[in-house]
Amino acid sequence: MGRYILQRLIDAVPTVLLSLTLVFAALRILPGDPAVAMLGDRAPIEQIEAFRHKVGLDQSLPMQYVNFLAEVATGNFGRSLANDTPITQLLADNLPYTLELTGFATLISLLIGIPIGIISAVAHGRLPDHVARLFGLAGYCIPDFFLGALFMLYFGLHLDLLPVMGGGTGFPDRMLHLVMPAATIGLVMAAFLSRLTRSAMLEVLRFDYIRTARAKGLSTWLVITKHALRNAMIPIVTGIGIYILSALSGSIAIELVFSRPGLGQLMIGAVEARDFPIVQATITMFALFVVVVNLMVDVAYAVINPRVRTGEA
Amino acid sequence: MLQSILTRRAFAGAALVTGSTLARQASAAVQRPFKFAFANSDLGSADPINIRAGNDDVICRQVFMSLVSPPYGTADNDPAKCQSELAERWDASPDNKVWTFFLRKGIEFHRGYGEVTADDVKFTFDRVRSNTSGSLYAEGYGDIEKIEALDRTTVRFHLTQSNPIFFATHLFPREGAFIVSRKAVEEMGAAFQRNPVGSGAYEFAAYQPGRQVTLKANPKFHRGPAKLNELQFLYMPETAARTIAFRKGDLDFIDGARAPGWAPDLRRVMPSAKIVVLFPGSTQLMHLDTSRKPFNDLRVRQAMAYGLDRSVFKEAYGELSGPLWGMNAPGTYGALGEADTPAELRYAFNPARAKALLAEAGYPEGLSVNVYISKREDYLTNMLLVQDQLKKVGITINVSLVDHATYHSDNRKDKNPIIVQSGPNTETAARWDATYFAAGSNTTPDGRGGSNFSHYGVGIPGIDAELGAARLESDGTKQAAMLRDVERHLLRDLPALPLQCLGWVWVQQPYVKIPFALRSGMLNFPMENVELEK
Repeated sequence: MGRYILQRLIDAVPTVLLSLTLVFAALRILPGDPAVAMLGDRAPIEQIEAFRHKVGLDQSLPMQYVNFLAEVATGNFGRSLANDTPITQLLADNLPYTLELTGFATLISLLIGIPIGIISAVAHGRLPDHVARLFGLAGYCIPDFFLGALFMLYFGLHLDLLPVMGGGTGFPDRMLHLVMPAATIGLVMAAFLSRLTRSAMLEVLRFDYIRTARAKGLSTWLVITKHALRNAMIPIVTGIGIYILSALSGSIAIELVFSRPGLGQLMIGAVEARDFPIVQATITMFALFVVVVNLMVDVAYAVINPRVRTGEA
Repeated sequence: MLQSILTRRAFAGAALVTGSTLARQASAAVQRPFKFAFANSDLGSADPINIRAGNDDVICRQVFMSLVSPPYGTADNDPAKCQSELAERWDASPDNKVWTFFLRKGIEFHRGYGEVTADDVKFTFDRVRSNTSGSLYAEGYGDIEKIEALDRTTVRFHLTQSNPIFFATHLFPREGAFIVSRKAVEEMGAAFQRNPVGSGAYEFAAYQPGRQVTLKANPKFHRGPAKLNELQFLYMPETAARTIAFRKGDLDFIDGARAPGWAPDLRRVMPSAKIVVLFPGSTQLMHLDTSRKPFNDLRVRQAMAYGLDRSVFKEAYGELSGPLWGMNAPGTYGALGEADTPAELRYAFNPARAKALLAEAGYPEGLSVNVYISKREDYLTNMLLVQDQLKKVGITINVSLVDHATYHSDNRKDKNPIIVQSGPNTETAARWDATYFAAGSNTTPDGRGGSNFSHYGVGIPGIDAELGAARLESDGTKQAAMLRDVERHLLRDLPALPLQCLGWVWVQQPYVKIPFALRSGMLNFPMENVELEK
């Protein structure tokens, strides 16, 4: 298994490198001068040039690229152009909020989406299936930022049950601040996941070994969990991987909607201000997430289906 | 005897009333952090020499003191109303070229940085007018020849030219004019912008990038400690998030949205919210490139002016929109008011005249022009309103969208034939006239030029001579009249079309008590006496 993980990590290196290169190039192609964005449209040219020099924007692009890669390799993303704060500090301040949001949203989606998908498949064509499909359809139709705003209005403003802004301080307060943003992303993810689980389960439930298991007199519970679900898990795990990444990207909008600290909030502010080092660092973090999540999915495959790690599959 | 008893009774009654009032006030006031949410996504800088946004100024107004101030809540530059702050008194030479300020004694900088002295004042203004200090405002202070610290509490400014309202143009509490501690700046260097030291009612306590700035009451403030112990300025760029949090009561004060319909909507769902519109807010102009076809023809520029029904701005923005007669906001020193603007220079809406002028200029079938505009709400709204209006007279404006940073960056490189520009109000019309219309500020394709986007005074004669003469005039009344002549000249030549003044919008909870009315400008809101009743 260790060798398998190592191989997957080595495979990820070109992906990360390509992501970094694309981010670097995209930011330089993007119109808009960081110096003007930082200093304002009426800043004197002397100050603009001094700023460019100070932050290295007057260097050649290859030199900027080499410096950027060197900084990433050493885990030092430099300092914010806007506020001169070390970016590692900004990441350390914001990353936990994004991770807890994505983590809880995923948990909510798993706890809701998979059971609904299973019930829907087992009750195929009956009322629970129709209700579950309606739930799935709603998830496809409602954008998460809109759902977030509805939650804020109803649970935050109308019922006055939950906080509508910020990330909270201290464990209980942070958990309280997490409820609505995580539920917003989690419910949308759950809708997707329920549809995926349903179709994977329907596929598996048609197989002969399920019929055989039932014929042997096994309980429905055992047939579903031991025989059907385990075999349906490969596409579901793939879906979960994709949805975790989707939750991660969804967190950008949700952090803005709830004025919640996090990488998304940090990145959007940095894009507006053309704060290149922060944008580069946050996108690098997102790229690393993609690698980690894909690795987790690969490991999960290997656990679920041993033929994957032995190369038989 | 009777008189004595009455007096004692009256005194006792008055004491009772006063005492109960004080007791009521004392019991009504609540002590908790005051939360003010800004629409910005982060602090630009809290160092007065490189303040980058109006909201940076709001924070600095609490941390720093200026020498003088207009009446709180206003930007009124009437000399008779000018209030002393750090300066106890001042005088000017008869030609208004030498100004001497006498500082109050015993005012301390925060955190043990010592007493505010004339040397700190000299250091502050030498730093802001220096081209090597990182100052963004050096140009505005370029007419200071030298500054002398005559003794510990007396400072003298020598100007290169007469300035009857020097106290307003250079010393009012806004970027550049906040007095910094020399010792703190020299100790901290660049870190000063995130950890400033002033002598104001509040000390800078903490900065969380992209989230919050926290200020704590200065226990040694010379007018006594501020009524609220803590101010929190939160960065919440999402309007909906800010509005919902405000409606829930999580925020005490917010930046409103300068967008059509926002204020009436809030008023409908939350009648108790107090919406404050600060005028003149932003002066919004539409610059036309006089060096390129078709705007090099005055008749085309006039056609645009006649084709634009400016009442649409009022219809769209409602209470946020105010009139703009010339290139500077009414009330600004040297700007035009309604009475100063001749009928023919008001360009009253006249589509037939607009079409006739276009035909006369060789565009009987109308004309078409490609422009780009910022996605920022007010910029985009303005451009769409203008586009809609001018289409009716045969001028088609093809608009593409860019983000705000790109918009300003590309405008500096002379890429746009029509530029909608929104700028803060200034104390004197001379400043924006020099910035936007002087030949020396011409915008150049290499981005090294200034903000004269219309190239006015470069290919065609401009206002340089008149503006120069006005700036040399030592008599305030005459100078203001000369500046109004400059404004009228600009209206005749139309290098830019005045669109509107767009007010700044603040919203306060009904339980926020401010001891003065917030009327104009957004920068002169000292919060030392603000109280919360809930």
